[in-house]
Amino acid sequence: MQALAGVDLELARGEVHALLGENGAGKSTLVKIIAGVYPCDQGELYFEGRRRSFGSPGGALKAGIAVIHQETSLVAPLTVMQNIFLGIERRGHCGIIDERGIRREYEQGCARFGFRLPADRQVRDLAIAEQKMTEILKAMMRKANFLIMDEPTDALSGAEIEHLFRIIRELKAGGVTVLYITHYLDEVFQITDRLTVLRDGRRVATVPTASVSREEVVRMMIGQEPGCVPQSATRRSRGPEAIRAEGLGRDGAIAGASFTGYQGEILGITGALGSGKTELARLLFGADRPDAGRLFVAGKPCRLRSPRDAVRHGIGMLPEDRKRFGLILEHEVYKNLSLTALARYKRGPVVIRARELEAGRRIVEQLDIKITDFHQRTGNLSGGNQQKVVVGKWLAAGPRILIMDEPTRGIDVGSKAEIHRIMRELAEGGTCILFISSEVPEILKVCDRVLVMSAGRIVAEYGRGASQEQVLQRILQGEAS
Amino acid sequence: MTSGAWKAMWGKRGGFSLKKYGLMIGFVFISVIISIVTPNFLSSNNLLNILRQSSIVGVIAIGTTFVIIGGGFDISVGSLLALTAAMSLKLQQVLPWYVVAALVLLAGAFFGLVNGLLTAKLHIVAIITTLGTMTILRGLTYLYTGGYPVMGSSEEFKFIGSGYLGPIPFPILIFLSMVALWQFILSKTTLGRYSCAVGGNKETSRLSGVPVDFYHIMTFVIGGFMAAMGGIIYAARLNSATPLAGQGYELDAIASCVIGGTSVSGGEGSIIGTMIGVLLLNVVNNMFNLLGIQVYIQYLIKGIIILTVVGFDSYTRNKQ
Repeated sequence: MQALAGVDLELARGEVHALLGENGAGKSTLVKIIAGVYPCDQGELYFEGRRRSFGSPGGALKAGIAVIHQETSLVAPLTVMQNIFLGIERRGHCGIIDERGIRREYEQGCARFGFRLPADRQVRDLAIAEQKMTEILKAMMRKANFLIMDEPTDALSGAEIEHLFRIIRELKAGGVTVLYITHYLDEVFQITDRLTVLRDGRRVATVPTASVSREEVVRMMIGQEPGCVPQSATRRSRGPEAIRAEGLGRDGAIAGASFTGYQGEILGITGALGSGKTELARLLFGADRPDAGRLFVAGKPCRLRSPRDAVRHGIGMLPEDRKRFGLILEHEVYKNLSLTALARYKRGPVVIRARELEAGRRIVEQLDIKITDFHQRTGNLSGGNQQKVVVGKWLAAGPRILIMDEPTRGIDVGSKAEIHRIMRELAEGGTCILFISSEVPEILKVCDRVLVMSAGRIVAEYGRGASQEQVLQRILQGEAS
Repeated sequence: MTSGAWKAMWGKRGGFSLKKYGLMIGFVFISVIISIVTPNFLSSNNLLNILRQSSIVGVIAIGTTFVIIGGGFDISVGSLLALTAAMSLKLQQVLPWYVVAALVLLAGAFFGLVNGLLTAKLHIVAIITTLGTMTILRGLTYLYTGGYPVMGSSEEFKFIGSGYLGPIPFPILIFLSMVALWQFILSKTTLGRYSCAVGGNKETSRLSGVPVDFYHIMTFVIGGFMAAMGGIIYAARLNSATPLAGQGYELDAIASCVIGGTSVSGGEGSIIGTMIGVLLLNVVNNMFNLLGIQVYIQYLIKGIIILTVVGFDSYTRNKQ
């Protein structure tokens, strides 16, 4: 199969250019060719007027092309400063590293580009947002003048995104060109000058951002009218209580969290980065243990010592980081799908392959997971399909309470709508869904009720019909206090 | 067609992949060459001899395969073989042989349990855990035997190591039936599947409700159990056990697993692959013996085989 066919793309110096397309449209392939990871077998690449072909990412970097990957590419045990100067350390006599010179250079760099980062903290202790900033600064210190940013805002909060945009604008003013890849159309309209849409490995269009509307862009991306998500006009009838927390707390993460989730309801939990959403999810799932408060499942008090206990009580969780915690990437699709419910396919001690595959087939059909066959390596699927496998894994277990932590992060528009549809179907089937997301519009669209978290506390609750401004304001207030 | 597509294609049929076929083809290829170079190679006596020589390390390597699939490593099995071999002979001075055999297997499982607990609960890196227990077990063997070889056992017990069922030596039957049993457990039971899952991604497995520590520990228990079985066969075959027995067996076992396609990072592997790995190493050894080539050179060749097979695999994997 051809990943990319005859794509023309031209970027002006100092331009911020969006590269859009659904998963599998060829964005990553294009970026990898530009950055020297893959060779291209047709066509030519010109950089600063000269025909180039970079044999390796190192070659591209030398020429001034740097990629800020979606996943961090920093060395976790090294400090921020060590990471930034990795490989370009200034050396004094006899090859000894000139610490003082580096620090001076670091401070100059920070001042010039408007960064504030703890120079001597280990990268592993940084928040994801700070890691991203570190990567950008690292690229800038290498005198990059063409930055490729792959989903840079994925893990950032509103304020941090603003900071990032400020930095991008400053870079742009300094003549740096940015190729900006994202799924968030809002950002495209905020920050980019022009945009290019790819579909099925071909270029659909390159247009000035100001000349098109959101709807037009979406249409270009998916090649048809976007399927409008049907929003249930009336509030779904609320079932009996599914899960109730009373003063749940964990030192340093969560304090006095009390709420009730009902069967057949989608309960949204939102908040800024670091507000405790993920930590709360882990408490509810038994992945961490609370040191205060009580938890009730279906009205009965229960103490969850491990995720296994949670599964026994009918709780499932889609973790925030699906690649690291949601899937076994090396394993076949069917093995991932049966991981939570293997015991159901047993006769005596033996797992009956036929039953297992049959159950898998039903899930694949129900969720419309695109696979070539069950023995496909899960890591080779696209982001959206991988996430569906994680959802499918839990469908197999048939949980009554399903915690979904950022289930639509980093997946394309089409898959996102499908995940929403699946959530709605599950809720209609009586499952209580705790939907955690930092995207307020998404939360408001999908949820029956919304909890807002800030600094480890639940600070507000909204019913259907709350406005985006209301919720956003509450989140931002929480951050300030 | 990419090798990935090939893999997927073969994968449809009973879980056999090109990698395993590749190994099988390589094995047959080497055997054919050897049988041309050395006329005696194909005699039934010689073939049975190879199988019998493979059976002790083979039995150990089955356990090692589980440990590696579960994401661990066990270098204590050689020392455990020495201790259990000594126990099987010495305990027979006071107990009947079948009680001894059962006790020794339990002891093996127990030491495996210790390895597992230290690794899973104290979070010591497996290779360091078993480096420690390897040294301790060797020390225990010296204390237990006083440094002298242990001798003598009952006729029934000797049968385990040197008896025949029809024309086939008994150790071969043990080895082959263990291969069948553990391959079945690996691919058809939750124990096998969860061992793979834990080795493939521990945190994902934990968050899927798999009791990861239990399965992680179980792989070590299997490792210890199979090492003890190796010890019994060893003692029964030689009718004596020295405190130095089994040195380097752990490395042969690991080499066999790796040649047989078990992923060193855990999560993937097969017992049949390991069996072929063991046979491959022994066939090559056998050829050199038949050709009268120095033992010292055999070490070089063994090392080169390991690097070639694993290097080829890593290289093709990386290219994907």
